[in-house]
Amino acid sequence: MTASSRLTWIGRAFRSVIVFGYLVWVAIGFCMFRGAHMEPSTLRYRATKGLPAGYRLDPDDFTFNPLIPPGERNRLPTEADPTGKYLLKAKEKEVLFGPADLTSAPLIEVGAGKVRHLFSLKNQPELPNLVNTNSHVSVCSGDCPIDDARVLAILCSATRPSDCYAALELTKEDEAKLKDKSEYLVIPRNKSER
Amino acid sequence: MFGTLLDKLTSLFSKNFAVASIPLFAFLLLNGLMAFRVSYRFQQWTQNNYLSQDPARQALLSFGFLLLIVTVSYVLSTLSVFMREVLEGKHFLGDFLSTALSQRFRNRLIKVEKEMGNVRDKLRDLRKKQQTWMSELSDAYQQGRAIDDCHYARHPTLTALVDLGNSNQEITLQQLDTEVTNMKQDLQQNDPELVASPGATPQAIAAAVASQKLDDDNGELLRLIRYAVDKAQAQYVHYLTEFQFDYAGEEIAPTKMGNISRVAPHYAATRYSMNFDIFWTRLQKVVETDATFYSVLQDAKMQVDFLVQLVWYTICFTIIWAIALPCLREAEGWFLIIAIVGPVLAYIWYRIALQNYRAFSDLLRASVDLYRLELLKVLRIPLPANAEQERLVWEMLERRLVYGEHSNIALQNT
Repeated sequence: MTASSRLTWIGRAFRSVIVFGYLVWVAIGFCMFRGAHMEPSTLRYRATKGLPAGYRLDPDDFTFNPLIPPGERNRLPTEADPTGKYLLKAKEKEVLFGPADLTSAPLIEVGAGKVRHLFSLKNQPELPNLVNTNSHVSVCSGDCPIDDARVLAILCSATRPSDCYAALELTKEDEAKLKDKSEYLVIPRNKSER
Repeated sequence: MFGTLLDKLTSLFSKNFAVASIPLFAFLLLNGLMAFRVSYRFQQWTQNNYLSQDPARQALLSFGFLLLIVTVSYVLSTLSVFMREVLEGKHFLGDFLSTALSQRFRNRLIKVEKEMGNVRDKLRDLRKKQQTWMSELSDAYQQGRAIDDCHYARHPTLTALVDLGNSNQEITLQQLDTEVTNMKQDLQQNDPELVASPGATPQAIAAAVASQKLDDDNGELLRLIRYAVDKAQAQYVHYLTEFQFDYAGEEIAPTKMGNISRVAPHYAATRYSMNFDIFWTRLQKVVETDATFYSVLQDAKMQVDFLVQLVWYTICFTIIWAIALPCLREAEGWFLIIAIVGPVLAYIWYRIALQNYRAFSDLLRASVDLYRLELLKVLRIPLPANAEQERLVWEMLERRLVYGEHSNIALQNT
C-alpha cells in the first residue's frame, strides 16, 4: 500500500467513524426511548410533602414512580394522571400511593356543629393553586366577617378547570353573615396567623 | 416588520453586527422552545417569571433579554474567526490527521489537474482538426458540385453521432474524424446543390431529394464539430474553475473550506509575490476608499460569517438535543426530527457557505488586482516599471515590515 493510499484510507476511516458514531448514537437514543415506555397501570406516585385526606393533588404535590418525563405526562391516559384527584387518606412525605388511594369526587368531612359552604372562586382564578384541603382562610369584603375558616376541599369542574369552588367549614352564624353581600373574597391566612 | 426591526437595530449597532446576531438569536430561541417543551420546571419558571407578568414587566424583561443576547453576541463575534478556522481545519486536528484528511483533496487535485490536461489536449486537437475538417469538407463540397448527380444515403454512424449530441453526450475526435472522412467521400461523389426542375423525371427528383439530404447532413456534421469543441471548452472551464477557486496550488488543507480560504493568499503570492496576510489590513484601508466595492466585500464577508455561525449553531443544537432528549426520555418525535434534519441542515449551510466563500475569495483576489498599486501610492513607494519589478517591491516590503530587515526603500516625496 502506497503512502497516499494509506492516508486516503485513514482519512476516509476518520470521516466514516464520525458518521457511523453519530448513527450509532441515534440508534442508541431510539432504543432508549423504546425501553422507556411503561405500563400506566403499574404507575405509583410519591408524595413530595405531607398531604391530608381529601387533598386535591397539584403537579407539585407528587412525583411519578418510576419517573416520567414532564413532556410524556401529557400523553398519559387520564386515569393515570392524579392531578386534580383527591386523596382518600392522608399521606406522609415520600410515601408511595397508587390509583386506589385516589378518588375523583372530593372527600368532605364536616366537623360537628359546622356546615359546608360552597364559595365560588370565579373572581379568584389563582386561588385553587394557593389553598387546598385543611388550608385556613378569611372571608373579607372591606372588613372580614369570617376571620378563620377551614377549607374542606377545592372543587373544580372537570370540563372547565377555571370554574372552581372552595368548600368552607363554617358555623351557621358565620354562614348567615355571608348572605348580606355577594362580593366577598377568600384570603389565605399565613400559618403564623392561625 | 423584520426590515423595520433591522433598520432600528442597525441604527444602534452596525448592520454586520445586527445580522450576525440573528443565528445566535435563533439558536437561543429554539433552545428555549425545546427546553419549554421538555422541562416542566422551565415551563413553571417561564410561566411564573415571564408569561404571568404584566405587559410592562414583560417588556422590561424582553429588553433585558435582548440586551443579554447583544452582549453574548458581541462576545461570540470575537470567536467568529475561530469558528471559521475550525471549519477550515486549522485547529484540533494535529499534523497526522490533518495530512490524512488532506489526502482526499490531494487526490481530487491530482485528478482535476490530470483531467484538465486531458481536456486541454483534446480541445487543442479538436480546434486544430476543426480548421482542417472545415477546409476539407468545403473542398469536397466544391468538387461535388461538378458531378451533377446524387445517390447519397446517410451513414448510420452519423445518426448515432446526432443522437449523442442531442442527448448531451461527449463526441470523440475519432468519431468525428471517421464521420468527416465519410462525408468528404459523399460530398466528392455527389452534388449537394442539385435542384429538380419542373417536369423532371422521377430519378432526377430522387437525386434532388438525396442532394438536399446531403446538404443538410453536411450542415449537421459541422454543427456536431462545433458542439464537440464547445463541450470540450466547457469541460476545460469547469476543471479550470475548480482548480482556480477550490485549490491554492499544491498547498492542500484538510477541509474544502480550508482549501478555498488559501486561494486568495496563494493568488497574491504567485501573481505578485505579495504576502496577503501581512498586507490585507493595509490594503483594506485603500479598498475602503471605493465605497461600492468595499460594501460588496463587506456583504460577502458577512454572508460567509453568517453561514459559518449557522453551521456551528445547527451542529451545537443537534448535539445538545440528540443527547439530552434520549437521556430525559423526552419528545421522541422531536429527537428523530432533530437527529435527521440537524446534520442535513448543517451540511446544507456548509455547502452554501462554501459557495459564498468562493465568491468572497474571488473578491479578495480582485481587491489585490485592483488596489495593490494604490496601496503602494499610500505607502509612498514609487510605482514599479513592470511586473517583475513589482514582485521585488512586495518582497522587499515584506522583508522590511515582517522581518525588520534594513533594506532601503526609496520613498516618493510628492
